Amino acid sequence: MRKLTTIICLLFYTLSFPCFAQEASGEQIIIPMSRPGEPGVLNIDHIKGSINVTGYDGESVIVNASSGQRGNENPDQVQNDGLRRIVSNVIQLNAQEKDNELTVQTNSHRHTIDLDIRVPHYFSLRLKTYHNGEIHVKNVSGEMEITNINGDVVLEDVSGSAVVNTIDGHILVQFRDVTPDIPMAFTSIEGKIDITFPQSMNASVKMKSDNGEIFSDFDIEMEKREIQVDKSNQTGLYKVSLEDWVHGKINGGGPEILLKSLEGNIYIRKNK
Amino acid sequence: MEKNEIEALIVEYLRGDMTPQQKSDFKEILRQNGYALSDLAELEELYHQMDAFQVPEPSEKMDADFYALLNKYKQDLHKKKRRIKKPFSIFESVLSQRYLPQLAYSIILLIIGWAVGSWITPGSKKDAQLTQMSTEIREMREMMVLTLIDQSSVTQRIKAVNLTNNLDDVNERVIHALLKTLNNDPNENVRLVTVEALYEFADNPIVREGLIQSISEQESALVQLALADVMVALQEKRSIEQFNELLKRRDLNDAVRGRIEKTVRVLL
Repeated sequence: MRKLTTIICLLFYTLSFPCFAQEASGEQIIIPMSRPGEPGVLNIDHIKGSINVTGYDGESVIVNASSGQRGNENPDQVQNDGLRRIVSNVIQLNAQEKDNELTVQTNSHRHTIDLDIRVPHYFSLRLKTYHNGEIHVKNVSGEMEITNINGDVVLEDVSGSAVVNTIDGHILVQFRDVTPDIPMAFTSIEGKIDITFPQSMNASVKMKSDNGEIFSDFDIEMEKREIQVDKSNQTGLYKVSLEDWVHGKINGGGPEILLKSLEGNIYIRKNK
Repeated sequence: MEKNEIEALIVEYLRGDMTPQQKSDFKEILRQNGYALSDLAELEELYHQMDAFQVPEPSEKMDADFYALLNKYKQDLHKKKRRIKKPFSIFESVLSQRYLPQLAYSIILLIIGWAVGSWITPGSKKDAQLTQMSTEIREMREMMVLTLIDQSSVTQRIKAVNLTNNLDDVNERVIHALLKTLNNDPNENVRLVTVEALYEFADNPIVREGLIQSISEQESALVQLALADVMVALQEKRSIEQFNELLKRRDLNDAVRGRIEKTVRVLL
């Protein structure tokens, strides 16, 4: 019995050593709109971290910021003189709202902060982040201007229009509906571009992939130059080989949609 | 007795329409007028002989012969006509009576049509109005470009830049607006579309200079690449210096670096 108690005590003693694992800390703000029920605008100029926006059936914007889950920081780094860096995970989160336009700011230049935001369905988004994260939008309707330098951009079940730009990340967009007569642009250097448009959309597409291929299952009326079109026997996507900008018309033409990637492939899909 | 009356009586006698009494009266009249009865007898003889005379039946050939003769006659006539008509034939057919009214009507209608037409459209005035209208439309478009290009919404700015594609010729204000957008717009895609739009006006020296100057100022990889493509398309050697400036930068994306080096080699 004595031995067991000793062992148990020893165990407890070991376990109670102070741990320097990072604690996940979080903050939350709920921001009511000046004009609830009307479409709003969300501006985020983020540096490190992901932005996750989901549409919900409410009238205020709920912002959750969390940090410390991932990151390049090595808190257990011991320096030469025995000093251990104490990581400050304090999140400074603030939001300013004026006339239905909301700007969310954090100190994400210091450390990675992930934002998880709930917005009313009719919201336009201007989101930008640099590294350590993805931008993920779901179920929102509005004009989206999204830039992610080093991560992916995923827009799922969105409506409206989008202008998306990445350097390293992939662009994946699924439109439920598009606003007519609005131009769009999707550009990337390394990443692949995969957009799903509604079947009935009218648009003029301008596409170029310097080192990649373009695939589509839309009936695109090609213009100008001679283009080799081979029907792939897999999913009905046909391959387009090209040299320069490829101009085409979908359903008779419409506002211009620009798709450009340097290295990645471009996929234009029909929403069936 | 009149000669006519006697001749009428002779005819009656020869026809046998006289009664014997009338015959003897007739002979008496003749004797009175100095006509010999022997002459009458000879006349009677002649009359009867004529009656017995056979009239030859027409043969079948008659029709054929007749038509042949007719045709020959026609041809001869035609030849004669042609020989005379040759120099004046066209003139003659034009003025020939059959076509003359139709021709006159059509010429008159033509003149009337032309007169009405020129009366309804007073020429030069309309042209002036047309040019004025197209200038107004162009100015309106330019105004729209300049307004939209400052908007806060990215899609409005893209729309503004795309509108310049519809202008054949741009004035300085629009060019300056486009160059300002190229160098200062916060959104990369707007700047990308601006490069493409400015390329359309690259034969304007201000535009060219602006594009070249912009190369080293661009932070965005995609815009740098677009400018590289434009310079290759224009074969603009003055841009080489700017590209070299760009290559000195350390934060240049590797894929972009490779592309720019290739561009410089192509231009040299």
